[in-house]
Amino acid sequence: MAFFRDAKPAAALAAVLAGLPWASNDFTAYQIALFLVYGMAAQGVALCWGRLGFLSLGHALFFGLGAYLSGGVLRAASNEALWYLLLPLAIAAPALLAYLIARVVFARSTRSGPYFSLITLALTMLGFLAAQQWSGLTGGFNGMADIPELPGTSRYETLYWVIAACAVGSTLALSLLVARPIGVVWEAIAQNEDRLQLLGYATDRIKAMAFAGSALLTSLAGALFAAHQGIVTPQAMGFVLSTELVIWAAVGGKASALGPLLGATIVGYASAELREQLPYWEAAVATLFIGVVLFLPDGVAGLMRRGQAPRRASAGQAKPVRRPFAPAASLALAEVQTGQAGVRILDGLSLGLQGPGIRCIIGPNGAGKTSMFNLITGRLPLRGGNIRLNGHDIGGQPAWRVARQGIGRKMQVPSVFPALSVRENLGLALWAGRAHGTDLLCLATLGWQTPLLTDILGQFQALSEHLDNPAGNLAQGHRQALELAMTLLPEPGIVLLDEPCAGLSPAETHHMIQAIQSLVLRIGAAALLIEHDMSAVDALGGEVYVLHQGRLLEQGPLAQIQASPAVRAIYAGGRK
Amino acid sequence: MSLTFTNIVCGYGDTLVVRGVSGQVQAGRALAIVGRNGVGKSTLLKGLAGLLPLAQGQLIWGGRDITGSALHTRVAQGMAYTPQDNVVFAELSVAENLWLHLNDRDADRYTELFEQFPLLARRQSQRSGSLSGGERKLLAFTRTLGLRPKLALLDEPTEGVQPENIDRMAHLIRQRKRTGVSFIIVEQNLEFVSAFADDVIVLDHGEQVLQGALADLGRERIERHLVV
Repeated sequence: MAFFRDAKPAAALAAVLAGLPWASNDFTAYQIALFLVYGMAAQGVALCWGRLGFLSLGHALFFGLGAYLSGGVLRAASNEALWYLLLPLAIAAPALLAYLIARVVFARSTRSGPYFSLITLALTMLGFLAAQQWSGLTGGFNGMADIPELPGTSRYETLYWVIAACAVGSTLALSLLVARPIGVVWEAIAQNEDRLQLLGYATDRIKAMAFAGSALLTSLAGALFAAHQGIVTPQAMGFVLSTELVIWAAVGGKASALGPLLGATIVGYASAELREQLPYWEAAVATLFIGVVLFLPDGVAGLMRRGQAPRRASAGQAKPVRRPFAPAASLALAEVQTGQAGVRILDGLSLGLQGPGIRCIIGPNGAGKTSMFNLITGRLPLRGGNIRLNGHDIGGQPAWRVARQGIGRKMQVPSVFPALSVRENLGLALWAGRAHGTDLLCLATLGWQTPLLTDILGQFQALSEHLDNPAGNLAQGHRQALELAMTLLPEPGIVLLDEPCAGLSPAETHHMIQAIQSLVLRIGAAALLIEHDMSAVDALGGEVYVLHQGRLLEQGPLAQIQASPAVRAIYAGGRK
Repeated sequence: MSLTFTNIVCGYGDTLVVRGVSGQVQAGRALAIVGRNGVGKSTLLKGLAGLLPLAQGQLIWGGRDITGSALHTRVAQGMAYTPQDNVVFAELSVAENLWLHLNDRDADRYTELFEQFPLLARRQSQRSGSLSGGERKLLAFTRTLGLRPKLALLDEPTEGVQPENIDRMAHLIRQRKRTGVSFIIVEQNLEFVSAFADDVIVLDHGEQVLQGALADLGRERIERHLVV
């Protein structure tokens, strides 16, 4: 059922493309085939931009590479067997290059901002230059000409069906992927990559894989372009085509599988018509682009989807999933130092915890409480000392690797994925550490359950009432509950909770404390909790650590801490 | 200058969160808006600040109808608003955060505030993004009072702030009240509310279920409406 719902755009496209040659003529079909080729290339751009939130300004590099390599194979392959062997390699090679580029860039900085766009822009300009200069291979400025037709097809007749089938296939593949858990992960990267890393997702690798997938699609389009045109010139790898791909994705709708095909066809057709009638037709196309950006942020496809909220539904039985981490871990910080922007924040802090239970951290603002959590979870650099989890050094490791070893973290200001539903937010936490192999591609994963999830939804009524609402619509306190749930659902051995009761009334604080106690006990974790409210610290019991000026000032039961003259001199604590 | 708000209805798109809330804060008094999470406190404050369009209702401030005016117009007239989060410009220094919106360099603006929060005075050259969460809240609070507003709207100013500094915030609010400044503060911490508020509105499901002078209502009566 879900398959047929998700396959609707591809089915509609197939129906239109199947009828087109009968309703028009061979030339129109030939022209539409070219727009479809461009549209598929734009689908690659839209996958990264519309789903994962990073914009490639250099996708023509992969289009051109796919076109040159496939054109070269078609010209060089002397028999059909060799052609079958080499053409897939020619299409896959640009995807491999894209993966390597993305791994190198995202390994240095996971941010998806303009740096990545500029690097891809530089690469496509380099590709254009190489295509022009390397005339022995590419034909230089005049291009690689006399590319033979795809075996078994005719350029002006049957090739249309090959291209149409590829366009339907790519639309189907994208629609199905977006509706699956991997689609949720992609959207989560665009919305809050830091949070996703704290759940244990290696976002740099996920982005690199998605970028490679998008390059594969664009490279396939390039291969079809070579067969369709019979010639490939450096323009197929140039900056102009790169920006056109972005424009087509924007006009059609970057968040839709069908959108880029629509965009390429609409803009392509409009350009062809306007070119004949207007001397400055480029200005008209530019105006169309500006108009769409201003008034139709979701493109033409967004108009068609208006009023229909995209929903993901699981298929099959909900599967009780196993616990990913061993309970009762130990964590030890020895003489750790860290700083930021020239300010030393932690200055020789030593602190250890072993076995299940909740410990509280108190201290004045600026004592280094949150920074300690940031250091443990790889968000601040380790300048000295060491951090050991179950005896293994984890100092300086990235956030996702720390999370995968069983450390869960709740942020001071609740950090969730605002445009995803509460259900999807919980799902992301549930899949963390549990989803392996093809799990993220299966609809059934959307329906995964654990007894802990049932327990959490029972304790936080607001979450179960708003399961299908965007998490960004939740009030601050309910977001606290959601992020707590997301922190605990992977069932980590160490739980770091940064002011989980901030923004809660005394009664809500009481409820939250009870929930934390029962849930942490249930998963058998060792928890560290930052809190200013002494009634909450009192209710939680357990050891209390006092931090001051980046060091551990005192440690012991609350009564002992409150009696300590050293503590009283700097911090008294309060009650709501 | 007193602010009177009548029958305020506002929300997000078609979803109305605040339904028919009315109240008043007079010059030199402080109104606390309390209630459980998700009942519409922050939404009401955004509506009063002009950040959310009102579906219904009227705002009269100092005898003038400001219902449709934009936040920046209200700020120019002496209103200040501090949101619940994203309260500082992380890439700017503490000093830049405190001064970038001001036309003068009147050193007295922050003298008294720095006396209460000396850590901000010490860290003026530090990048705000490297401050702790509680320190950022203090910076936002200090910046708001540094504006010398006639009416300050504060959304949960004490979240993440250590108790000693909360006491100092309450002290500063009381002091400013004596000079005629009015406050409307959304707050969950009833100890803090008791320390600064004259009047209280308790919200539930977007409607006011209790309203009056704090002294008349008493903490227990308010707490009964905050039970989860």
